[in-house]
Amino acid sequence: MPRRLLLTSVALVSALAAGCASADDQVMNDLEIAHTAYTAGGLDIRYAHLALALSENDTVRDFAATMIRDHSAVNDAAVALITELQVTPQDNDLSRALVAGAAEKRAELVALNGKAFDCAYAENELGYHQVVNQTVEGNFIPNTTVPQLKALLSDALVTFKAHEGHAERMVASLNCG
Amino acid sequence: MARASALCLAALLLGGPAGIRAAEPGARVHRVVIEDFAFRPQRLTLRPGDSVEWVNLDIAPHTATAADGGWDSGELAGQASFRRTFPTAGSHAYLCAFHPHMRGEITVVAP
Repeated sequence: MPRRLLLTSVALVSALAAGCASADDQVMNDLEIAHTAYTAGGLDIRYAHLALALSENDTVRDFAATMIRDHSAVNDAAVALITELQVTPQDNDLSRALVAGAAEKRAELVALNGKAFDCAYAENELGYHQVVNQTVEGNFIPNTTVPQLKALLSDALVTFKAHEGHAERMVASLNCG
Repeated sequence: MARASALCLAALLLGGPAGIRAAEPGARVHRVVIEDFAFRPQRLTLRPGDSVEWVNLDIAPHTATAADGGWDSGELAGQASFRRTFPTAGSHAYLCAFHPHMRGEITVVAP
C-alpha cells in the first residue's frame, strides 16, 4: 500500500474508530448514523469539486464527476427518507471528526497540482471509500433499527463499493508509484 | 387543411420516418434491468426489429451507451428507463458511460 494511502486510511480509521468506540458507552442511534452517512457523502462531493477545479486528467475528472452524480443521488434519497419519516439527523462526534479530517485533507490537496494532485486525490478516494465501506457494512447497517434506513444504507453500500473498485482502477492507471 | 392533415397521416401510415413506423409483426420488447451496478441479463440475443428497454433500479444514475458511440440513453436516474429498437442484424457492445466497468452486449440475429 502506498505510504500516502496508508496515512489517509490510518487517519480515517482513527476518526471512525473514535466515533465507533463510543459504542462502549453508547451505540450510535439511527439519527446519528444517518447524519454521518450523509456527511461522508457530502465530503466526497467536496473532494470531487476540488478535483474538477484542479485536475486536467480525464480519468480523474470523470471519476470526480461520477462521485458528484452518485453521492448526490444517494444523499437526495436520504433527504427524501428523512422527510418521509419526519425526523432530523443528529450531529455527533464521528460526523465532526470526519468534517475536521476532510478539512485537513482538502488543505493538503489544494497545495498540490498536476500528477501530485491526481495521485493524492485518487489515493485519498480509495482510502476513504475503503474505510467508509467497512464502517457502513460492519457498524452502521448492523446497528440501524429503522428498516427503511437499513435498506437505504444497503443500497448505498452497493454504490460505494463500486466506487471503491473504480478508485482502485484509477489509482492503478495513474502509475503513482 | 383537413385534407393536408389527412395526406400527412396517410403518408406516415404508408411509410414515414423509421422512428414512427408501426412495429414489425412479431417484434418483441426485451427488458434489461440495471441493478447493483450490472446489466441483467448482460448478454441478450434479439431478432431484427426487436427492442430493448433498460430500467435503472439503482439509486445511482447510469447510462446504456454504445461502445462505438452510435447510440446513448443519456443519464438514467433511479427508476428511469430507455428503449431502443435494433432493426438490423449485428452486434452491439455497450457500457455505462458513468461506470465503464459495467458492460453488456446485444446481438441481433436474422431469422
